[in-house]
Amino acid sequence: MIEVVALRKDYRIAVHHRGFWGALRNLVETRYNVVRAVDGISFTIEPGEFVGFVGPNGAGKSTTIKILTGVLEPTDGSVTVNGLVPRRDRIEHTRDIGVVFGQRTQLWWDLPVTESYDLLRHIYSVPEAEYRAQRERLCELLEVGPLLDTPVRKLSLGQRMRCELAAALLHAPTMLFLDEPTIGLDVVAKETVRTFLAAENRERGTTVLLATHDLSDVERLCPRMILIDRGALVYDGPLEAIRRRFGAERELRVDFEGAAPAELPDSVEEQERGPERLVLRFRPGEISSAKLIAWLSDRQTIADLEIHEPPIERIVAEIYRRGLPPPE
Amino acid sequence: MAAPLPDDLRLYVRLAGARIREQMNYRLSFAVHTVIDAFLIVSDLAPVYLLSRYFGALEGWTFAELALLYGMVGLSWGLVETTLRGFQKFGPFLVDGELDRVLLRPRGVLLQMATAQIEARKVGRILQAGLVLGIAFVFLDLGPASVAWVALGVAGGILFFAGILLLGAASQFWTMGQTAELQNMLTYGGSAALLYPVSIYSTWFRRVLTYGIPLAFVNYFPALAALGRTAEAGWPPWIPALSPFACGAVLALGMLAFRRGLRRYESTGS
Ligand SMILES: Nc1ncnc2c1ncn2[C@@H]1O[C@H](COP(=O)(O)OP(=O)(O)O)[C@@H](O)[C@H]1O
Ligand SMILES: [Mg+2]
Repeated sequence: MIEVVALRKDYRIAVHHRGFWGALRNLVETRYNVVRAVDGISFTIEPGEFVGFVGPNGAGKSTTIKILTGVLEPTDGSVTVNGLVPRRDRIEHTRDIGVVFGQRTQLWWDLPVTESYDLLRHIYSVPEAEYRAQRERLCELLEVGPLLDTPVRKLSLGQRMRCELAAALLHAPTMLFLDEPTIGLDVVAKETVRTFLAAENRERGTTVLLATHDLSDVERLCPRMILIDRGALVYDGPLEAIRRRFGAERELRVDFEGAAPAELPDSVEEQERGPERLVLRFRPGEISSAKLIAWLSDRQTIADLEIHEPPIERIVAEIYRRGLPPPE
Repeated sequence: MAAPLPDDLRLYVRLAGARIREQMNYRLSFAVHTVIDAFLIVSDLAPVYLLSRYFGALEGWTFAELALLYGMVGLSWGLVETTLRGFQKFGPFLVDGELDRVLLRPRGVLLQMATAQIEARKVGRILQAGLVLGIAFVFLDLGPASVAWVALGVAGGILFFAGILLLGAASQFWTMGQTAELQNMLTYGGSAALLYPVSIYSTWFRRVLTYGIPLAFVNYFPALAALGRTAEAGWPPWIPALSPFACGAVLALGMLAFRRGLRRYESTGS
């Protein structure tokens, strides 16, 4: 169980003097600017939950994850994970968690993937038989097998992320902390990663905390969403409730194989219009996407279409403007 | 930061091996650097030789005796530089946020750090220093007791240089990688100063080297004992035996500083 109570984190950023002598001076006298990255967050996560940790850039997601994984010490408040204090009990704590930071690799850059895995087995002291079984299972689910002999530096981002996920789970942790693992991935890689995460959580009961600023990750995977902004907790509950209240709006972009239809259903708002192109806003509560698409294709052949979620920034703005939905 | 367990030692070897295999991807650079390093011994020893040859022995030290001093420092510094190089390159490591990765693994920070930057080519330096030491032994016709004193000095040197590397690495926590210069100055400057017996330096510098940064304990005192000249140089006979303690104190200080630095570690953005 993960328990976070009134967590606060201030970064002290040293105001540096420049140059060699400046560096010496820094050792003696240092002035700091303080940045409050996390400002009094509390939440509890039960074993087996899959929680989306959402917020705009700079909200404090990475900082919170670093505290939960024992990299950083909180400035104030308390964090316990299965009764352990992450930074204080670092060794014991890290044995039982898997961590992936989207922007940073866990693997040895110039070595084949398989060598990184062997090294990790020794770092985590995983018994040989367990290691083999776990590795085979992960390689199959993540389709990593063909990549094992490739040096990490030659992998594409999507390939690397699959290898990273397998690496983070080789020691069969019961908790998984992911910091923007889908960032920059193409649709196919994203889908592989999501399918895999859903299965790990469902079949092995792995607790997952997934930091992301992509709401489609949450929609697909997380029954519960913790939303933070500027270091403070804004919402904790199902994404659906938020959706029903504000986020219901979707954006539809359609390209036609001829002139775009002139008239539109009543509940649909026109955003943009080109000769053979429309960008529309609608609420699935008022007209379903299927109905809207059918309505349009009755009038003109559709060449291509995309449906977009509102970005997290707009939802946060809406919450500030109109308040939270009442608890269920 | 407990004493290294056998399991830790095995992991050290594995991680070091991985690091060396990584470097083998860049064979040409490896070869070039090894050749350059091989010339360093010449550039190090040539001035010492010329000085002792044309100006007579330095304060009564012959070239063979000076080579003994060189070999001792070279060996301990070489061993430390090879096996603990991660601490020497700690500044950039810290700035890149790689320490995060180290902290995420259930192993000692020092163990993982030490292997992070190992450079196989430095082994050449160790071999050269060992060679110089061996030749000095032969020329000076040293007995087993003297060899033991030399070994004590080398062991002390290992503690000393490890301590200096840790101190330098620790300072990076406060300056975020800006004091790499200072660290290089201490280690390279230190090993250069030690090419000569500390008795040739002016009084204040000699005091700094003896009581301040106890560099004199790394080679000067043990070498005096090995050559049977402690009394002649005006020191009590037990002084060379303090070598491991003086050097051990530097290591302890280094570990303490590193631990304090680690506690104030703030990570880097995203
Ligand atoms: N190591 C650091 N030192 C100083 N400030 C930092 C550091 N890491 C993050 N910050 C600042 O803290 C705030 C929260 O950052 P972060 O936790 O990375 O947010 P997110 O992951 O949600 O984008 C930002 O204002 C960021 O600039
Ligand atoms: Mg982040």
